[in-house]
Amino acid sequence: MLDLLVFAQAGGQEAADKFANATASGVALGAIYALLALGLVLIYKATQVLNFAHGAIAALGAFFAAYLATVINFPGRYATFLPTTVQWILSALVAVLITAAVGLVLERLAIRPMIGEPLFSVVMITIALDIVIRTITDDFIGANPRPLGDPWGADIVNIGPAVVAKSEIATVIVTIICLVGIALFFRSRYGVAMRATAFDQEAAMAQGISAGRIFAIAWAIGAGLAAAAGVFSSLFPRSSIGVGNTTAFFAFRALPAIVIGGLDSITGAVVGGFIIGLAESYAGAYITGATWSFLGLGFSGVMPYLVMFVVLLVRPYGLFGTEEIRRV
Amino acid sequence: MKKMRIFVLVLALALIAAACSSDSDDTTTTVAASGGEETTTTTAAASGGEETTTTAATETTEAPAEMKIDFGVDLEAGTITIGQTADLTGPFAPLVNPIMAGQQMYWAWVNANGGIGGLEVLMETRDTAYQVEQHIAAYDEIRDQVVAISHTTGSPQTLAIADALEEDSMIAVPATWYSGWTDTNIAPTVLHTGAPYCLEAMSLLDWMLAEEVKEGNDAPTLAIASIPGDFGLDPMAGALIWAETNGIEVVYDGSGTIIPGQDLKPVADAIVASGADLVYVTTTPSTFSEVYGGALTQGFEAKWSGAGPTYNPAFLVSPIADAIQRDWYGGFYMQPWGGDSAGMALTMQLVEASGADIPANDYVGLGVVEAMLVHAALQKAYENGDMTRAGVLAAVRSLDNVDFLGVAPAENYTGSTSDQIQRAITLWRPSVANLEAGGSGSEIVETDFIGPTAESFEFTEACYQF
Amino acid sequence: MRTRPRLYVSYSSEMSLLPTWTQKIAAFVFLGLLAVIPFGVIPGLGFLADNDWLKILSRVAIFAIGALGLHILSGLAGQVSLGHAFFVGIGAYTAAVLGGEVGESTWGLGLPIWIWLPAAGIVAAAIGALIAPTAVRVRGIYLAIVTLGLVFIGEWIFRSLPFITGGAQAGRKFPGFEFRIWKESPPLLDFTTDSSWFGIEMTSEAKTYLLLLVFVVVSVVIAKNIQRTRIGRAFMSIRDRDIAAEVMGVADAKNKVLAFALSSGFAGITGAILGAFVGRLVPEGFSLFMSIQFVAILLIGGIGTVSGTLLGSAFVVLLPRIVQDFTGLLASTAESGTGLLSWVAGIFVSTGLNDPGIVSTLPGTSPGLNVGQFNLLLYGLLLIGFLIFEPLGLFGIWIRIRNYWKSWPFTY
Repeated sequence: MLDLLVFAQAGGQEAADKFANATASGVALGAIYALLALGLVLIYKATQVLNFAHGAIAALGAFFAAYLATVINFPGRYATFLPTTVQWILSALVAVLITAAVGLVLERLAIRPMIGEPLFSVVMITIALDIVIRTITDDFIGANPRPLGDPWGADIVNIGPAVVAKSEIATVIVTIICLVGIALFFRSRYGVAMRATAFDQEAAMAQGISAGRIFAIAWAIGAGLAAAAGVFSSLFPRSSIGVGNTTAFFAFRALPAIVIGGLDSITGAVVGGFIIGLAESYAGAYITGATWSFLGLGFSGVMPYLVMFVVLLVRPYGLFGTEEIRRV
Repeated sequence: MKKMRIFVLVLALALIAAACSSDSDDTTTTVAASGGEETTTTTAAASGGEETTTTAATETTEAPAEMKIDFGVDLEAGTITIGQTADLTGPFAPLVNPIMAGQQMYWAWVNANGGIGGLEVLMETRDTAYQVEQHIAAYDEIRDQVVAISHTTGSPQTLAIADALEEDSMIAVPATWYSGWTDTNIAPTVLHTGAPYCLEAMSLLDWMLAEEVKEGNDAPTLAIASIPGDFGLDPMAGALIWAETNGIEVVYDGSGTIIPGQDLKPVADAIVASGADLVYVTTTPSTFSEVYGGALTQGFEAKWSGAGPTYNPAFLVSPIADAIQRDWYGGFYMQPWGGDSAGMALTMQLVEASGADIPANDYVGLGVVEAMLVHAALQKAYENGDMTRAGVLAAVRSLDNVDFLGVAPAENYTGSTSDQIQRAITLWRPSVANLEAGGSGSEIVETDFIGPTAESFEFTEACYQF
Repeated sequence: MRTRPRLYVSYSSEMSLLPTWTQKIAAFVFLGLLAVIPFGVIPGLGFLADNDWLKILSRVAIFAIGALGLHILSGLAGQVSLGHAFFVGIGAYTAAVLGGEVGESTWGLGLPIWIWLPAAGIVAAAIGALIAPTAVRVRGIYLAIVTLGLVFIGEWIFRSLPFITGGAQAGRKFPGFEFRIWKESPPLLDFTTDSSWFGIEMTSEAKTYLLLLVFVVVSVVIAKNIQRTRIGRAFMSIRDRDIAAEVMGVADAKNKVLAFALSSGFAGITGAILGAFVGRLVPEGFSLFMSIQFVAILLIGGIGTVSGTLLGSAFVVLLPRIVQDFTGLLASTAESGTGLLSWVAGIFVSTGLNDPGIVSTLPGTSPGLNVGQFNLLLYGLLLIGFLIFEPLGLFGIWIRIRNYWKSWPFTY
């Protein structure tokens, strides 16, 4: 009897550890999804364009970070007195800024001529951009993947029963900072202008808001967020080897997040990101082994899409999305 | 065969000014062993004289009176065209691009030294993006222009063109080590190079077991995991055979569970939970880094290994560098960069001479090995006076000792499946010091290693059947 | 001149397949030219009779059939779909199970083509009709993501059913183009081997090409008929103003489901033909990339038109080959000749290991993109160019050329 009790306790402890680990890993994964989703939603909200090139931009940003941090050590080489962690963060920030500038250029050259075109064409142009950016990024990356040289390396810490990598904690912190930053941005002058443009473009322009400038800002911030997501998806333990020619595909995993949350909801993006991160992680931890073998190979990977279908059946515009009012 | 080998060797000696006498001693003995027709070059090579080599090389081949040709050989223009269906933009592009570089350098060098009987060898490369459909289209596009396929990326892709290859009597060198390529029933015109995945797994596990026993653990446990397809399942088949032969308990069998593009934490968790002492994983480098990273975060320590392409030298400059140095037991089908052989010296010399800005890379050498095999086949066909595709196939099927100047174990392409099987691999350990010294990061432990299980295994058919 | 061209005196003549004599003649001449390609009798285009070109043209035909399916769903009914590859896969594996041989671990019934080919279309259409009611609940960009999800779920299903698909990264063989009465009976018509037809020696490539040409013509007629009859008009009214259409009595959901089913049926047939044509496919082949190719065909060709869809198929399938040949030409110009042209080519092409250039003819080491990358880049840039500068695609360009000659010598 006593034996059984001890066993039950040990089993309970094990189950709790498993749950804690799966949760921690789901939150860390969800944070990257949320970062990607934030950028996607911001761009969609302002320009009504779903950016299929987001993953390619993320990989480009991660490449910039890897190049700046490990090859030319910019801007750290001019500030060697700073701790290496700060030097790396500066490099990553510069990479984010460069990627934001790339976003500006993309918007001006390819997206602005397409505003108001049929949905299909707009979807396709971002897919075409994805092909172009991904090809160039692959060429930049070269033969082998490029590790990012981040200061956290393979360090791990214990948070309660869960073991997490320091880089995962950094990911969650950065996601929170970005979320707060975006929330603050929407209260700023340009943020209000962006909301107005998203609501009614003509009315906003009549009020003296430059819609073009709003589009540009949205794409710059969106690309910057993509770069941040690219950097954090290329770190230990998720992809210890750094940014490679498959990094760009990661963003497709975040698409269910924005649908679940609602395409035009910032809150929805973050909530959706964490929902699918956790769903994938729990599916991986619990829907596995011989009992579930009838579900085939890699079921956890389609879990986000299944959650998405269920949500859409109940709410066709996502959990936080605004229902479109259609007129004849 | 012998002529071609000497020809290559002689040129290698000419190129490598520092070639020492022990090298030529080694090679002369193999020349004698390989037998065949006698020519003037034998003496040139045997004398080891560097001065006479260049002239000797150009004399090696007398043009046969009559030359039969069909596709890919143009006697008037003096060219031989060989094709490559290569993944230049897909997931294996990081490996395939250096392979293509190696081939390119090798053929440029062959052409600069008289080609094959004065015929210049041209490459006709098509991108497949590692997609079966595109691979078939690429082959269809070049099949009437080429006499041989010196590189074809991927097993399902190569299998998809196998019927067409057989129909065309076209030899093809696959850049995969599926055990079925040695199986003459599966694809008779596809030529293996090096030991297949399943025997590689046996040898590597033999090595790891020996190391484990040295450390005092007599009964280690094994966990395995892989991506689907032959690249994952052929080594897993080898690992399971190995475990059965040696009475080792398999505590986790994750064959085919690593799906690229998905969260791989569950696989890592399962490996950690199994508490295995030996882990054999075969997948792509980026997915491996995810599985391995996931296991590391939980403080898991074991001896890890996997089929050659699982590893990437970028591991040694990444956060997992220290751990991978401790844990990884590497195997390769030929000598990694910096190996001690005339063939590797030639490879390194070619890279240096090309001035190409590529990092030291184990796959450049593989390209050279692939090209050497096709070179041997074409040379033999030339000597036979039959450079039709069927002639080249017949020529290669008469070669029982293709020598790669020591950079890869000599191969036999005659006889039955069990005659042709190659068992030897090179063992190496990752080394940051080696990388920092300008190497590829692969410190060679032993060349031509055959583990006891791999040695005794009777190979009659492919370990994994499609 | 009996009547003025483009003056329609009755509704039926305006709605007929080929309304004017010019169109009738042009269509039959063009079809005739396509039909004689394998015999190499067209002056200047004799090279098209080579096996490698016939294979490419056959591929154009296969993609055209699939694209016609997407044309019905997206071009006519206006529903954005990135899930076309999923239905192509369904059709392919239906054909494989019904017509394929039993393998080591794969199912196969070995039934003849007249069963597996229609079945591929019917099963895919049925699954399309099954999924559609869920899919049509969402619209616009949400639909795009839902159909994208279909591709990923499809990849999971295909990879998890090794006895049907052969398993991930392994794949299985597909039945070939052989017309038999029943399983083992000798083939009445065999497209997989060379033989002589009516005294003319024909390669299997030539025969397959002609067979696929017939398939395309049938598909075009079906698509055109759908477009110009009641169903097509209902689809287009939904595309243009769905609520207005509903008010006028066009059932929105019912027609969308119908569009999905028809489109999936075409896709299923395409899958079966593709499998038979290439012989072996892996589950990974039915990916987002394939879906994108179909969408690109529609957009490059000109969305909403059958002729545009055909033009787009030709363009998208031929593009890689054209780029390949173009790069080769640039390289030989840069290498061989002297003079301005060679100098210009030399800037673009890297022929040596240390020769800088945008695209290198030598894979691996040279600076610059390799040919495969250049191909992808050009593909992306062309798509962007078309979308921005010519939203009507190749069809729009054709219209402008036609109008220019029609009003010549006046420019307006």
